[in-house]
Amino acid sequence: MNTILDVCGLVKNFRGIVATDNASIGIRDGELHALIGPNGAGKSTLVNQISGEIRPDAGSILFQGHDVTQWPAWRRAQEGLVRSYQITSVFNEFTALDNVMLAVQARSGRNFASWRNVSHDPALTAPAMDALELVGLEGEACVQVSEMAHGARRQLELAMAIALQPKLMLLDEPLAGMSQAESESMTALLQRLKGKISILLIEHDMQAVFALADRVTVLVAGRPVATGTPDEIRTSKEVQDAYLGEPEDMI
Amino acid sequence: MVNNTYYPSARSVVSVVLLLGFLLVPFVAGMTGEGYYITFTTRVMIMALAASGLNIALGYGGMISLGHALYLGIGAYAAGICAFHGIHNGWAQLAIGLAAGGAVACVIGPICLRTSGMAFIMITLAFAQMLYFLIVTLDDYGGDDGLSLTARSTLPGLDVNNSTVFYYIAFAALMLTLFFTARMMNARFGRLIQGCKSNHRRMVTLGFATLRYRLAAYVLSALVCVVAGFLLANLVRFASPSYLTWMVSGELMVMVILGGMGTVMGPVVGAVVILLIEEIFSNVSLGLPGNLDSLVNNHWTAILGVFIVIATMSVKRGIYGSLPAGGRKP
Amino acid sequence: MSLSLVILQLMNGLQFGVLLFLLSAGLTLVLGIMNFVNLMHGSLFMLGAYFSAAVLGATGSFAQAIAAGVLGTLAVGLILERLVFRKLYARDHMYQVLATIGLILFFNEAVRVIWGSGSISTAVPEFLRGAVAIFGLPYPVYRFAIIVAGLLVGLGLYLLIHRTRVGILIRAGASNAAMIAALGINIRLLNTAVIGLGAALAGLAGLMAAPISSVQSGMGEPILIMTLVVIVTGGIGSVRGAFYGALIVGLVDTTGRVFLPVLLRSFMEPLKAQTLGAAVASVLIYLVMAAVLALKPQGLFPVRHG
Repeated sequence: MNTILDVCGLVKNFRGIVATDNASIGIRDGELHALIGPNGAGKSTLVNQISGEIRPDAGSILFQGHDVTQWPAWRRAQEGLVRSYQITSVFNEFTALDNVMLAVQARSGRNFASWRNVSHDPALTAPAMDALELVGLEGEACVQVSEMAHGARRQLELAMAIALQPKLMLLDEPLAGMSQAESESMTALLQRLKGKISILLIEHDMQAVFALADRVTVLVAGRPVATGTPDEIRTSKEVQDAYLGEPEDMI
Repeated sequence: MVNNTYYPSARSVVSVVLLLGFLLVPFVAGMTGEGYYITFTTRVMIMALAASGLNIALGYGGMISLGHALYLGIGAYAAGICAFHGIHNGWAQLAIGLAAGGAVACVIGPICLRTSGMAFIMITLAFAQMLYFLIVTLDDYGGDDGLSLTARSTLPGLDVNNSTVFYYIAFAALMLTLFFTARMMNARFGRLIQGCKSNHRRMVTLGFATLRYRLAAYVLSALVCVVAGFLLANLVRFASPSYLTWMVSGELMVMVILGGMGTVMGPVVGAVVILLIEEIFSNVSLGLPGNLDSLVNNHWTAILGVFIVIATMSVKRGIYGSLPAGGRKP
Repeated sequence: MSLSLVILQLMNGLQFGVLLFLLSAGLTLVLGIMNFVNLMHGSLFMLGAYFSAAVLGATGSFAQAIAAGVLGTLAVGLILERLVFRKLYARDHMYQVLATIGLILFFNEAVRVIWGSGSISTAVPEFLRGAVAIFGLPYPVYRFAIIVAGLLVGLGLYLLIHRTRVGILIRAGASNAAMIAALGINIRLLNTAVIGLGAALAGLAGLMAAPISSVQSGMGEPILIMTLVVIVTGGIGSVRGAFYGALIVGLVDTTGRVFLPVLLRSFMEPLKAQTLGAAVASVLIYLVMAAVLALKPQGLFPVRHG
């Protein structure tokens, strides 16, 4: 069992507030690992440090054996450590297909090419359409993002992450703001991706978490307090204590 | 695709009319005997060229540069200073201008691109101001008064002193720029730049090392303005520090934004509209009662100012940008 | 180069810095709280000069001239806020730059229409003429009065921002504008108040500068550029940054222009020294700004955003 991501002793302070408190977490190759915790536990901050948008004050991050702690975000993405956003962050002025083509372009280079129209370049359009089909958006390929529904944009977000051929995906609340139907198709999609791509999933939707996760880590006040299979976590006393005040989450 | 019937969009119609118009102006001028039309339209095309250059950085790339007049000035003074020292060959002057402009852009670009927002605007402005003050103090090259070109740059095989020939040289420069901009913006590099404008943070996390591409776009945009400056100095046979003021930079921004950012023809439309307003209100007698005509003629910049304010508030995507773009209809 | 000359120029630098502070304080708050790029701030400076000069010429009363300068620009600022600025707060900086450039063009011509193209001169009021002894050296009373008045206004601003309810809103707004709107504060009123305050301060600076400057169309733009340098150097949204930034810019610019050519003369022939010195002095403040930004990209006293 290989460890694809090894986070050791990460510390992050923001003007006196300890956001990440000596956090260590390990993600196994091919697993879907969920990260849960009460609001304000520091899940997003932790993910931001793993993706490279924030630098930790102390600690290290090893990705596929490389020490990426000082690497800028774009370099980690190039290496296969890709994230999606809690607040959808796509290119509103482009069509869905154009969005995914940009993600494909990020992997394939030749970024100074200034002559050939990208719409006539199968090296870009084919993988982009594949990713759109995988998430179920092929029908909206030519729709401008600003005219797409919220759920569709979250699917697009995922398509872009997939188009980057990631080794590890950091998914920051992909189900946020989705209707019941949208959540179900997104969960089914994540089910299809399981095993092909390693996934670190932050989610509040406990139904989805327990349906999908191979292992779960609980983060409280910036520090992991428990890691285990969904069943172990569900029955853990420490976790129940941590969620005091939010017992309805623990279904 | 369903059906291949092609209905021309409003944008295509405007583009064709405009470009055809440019093509035919010398013929019309020839027939009516009004040589002034040629000079005026040459100036319009040169400013359209400069605006198109700025469009690459600003309209497509989202870099709010209030200092692009710097490159206009470099192009103009490359011609002027070379002519002063006896170098009259146009290609040599242009090469020197492009080298200088490119070098300056490669130095300024990385500095500016490390900032954003207001600081970016200020740094681009600061560098233009620096060259302005430098030139004003260089009395050898005319200082505040500017520098006359003893003759137009020579281009072997072309009679540049013929205003019609010079007109078509400017026309060619504009057409080439528009054509290559159109191709580039639909290609990988262009999409990358537009992505940076749309959502820079996302471009970074997708894995693009954005600095080098934005720098390339900035340098390219600077080089186009150098060419425009070179042509401008040749048109009026004069290089002046007034080409470097921030009002000129501002005027270029107005043309790009009011014309339509991020479209190929937007800056051209912007240049035409702004310069026509200038021309009409400053020279033409509108038959207004009493003293109003001369009032308008003397103070037309006030009208331009009001027009800019109103247009900015009401037109979201520029005049050309607001026209529908679709081509094929089922 | 005598000590008295140095002291004199330092005082002049201080005086210029104080004027810049009045302009910068308003502009930095507008940019910091409302994220609004107002390039016609220099035009308000110009209008303050024109209004006060016109009233002084007509009535001879300094008190009325001050009222005209301050209240006149306040009125213009409030009218523009209602008609133009309000529609642009939500839009990208580019459009704000555009619209305010249009306003610069308009006002530059408007003053030409009303007062002609030449410069109008206005005299220092009687009771502020003469010289006062500073460190034993004679210094113009008027310029000294500007320094004092400016510092008093600065003190007033400090008290306003740090000791009043309105001040809390202003500080909160500079730190997190969306939050105060969410808290139900009447954001419209706050915006109007900030614009009004900025306009009044600009008008005050203009009327104070009028007797010692050339009051003409376009006088606002060079000052505006300096003001922008100040707020970028000092830190956008920070009045403290505007204060220190203004003093630095004022001192550097004034002393640079006088002493740089003199300095260069020690190892260059006089004519070259003069030319090079003047050229470098003109761009000195930009170099200072670039140096500050290279080390502290958010400016000297950045406002921490909550």
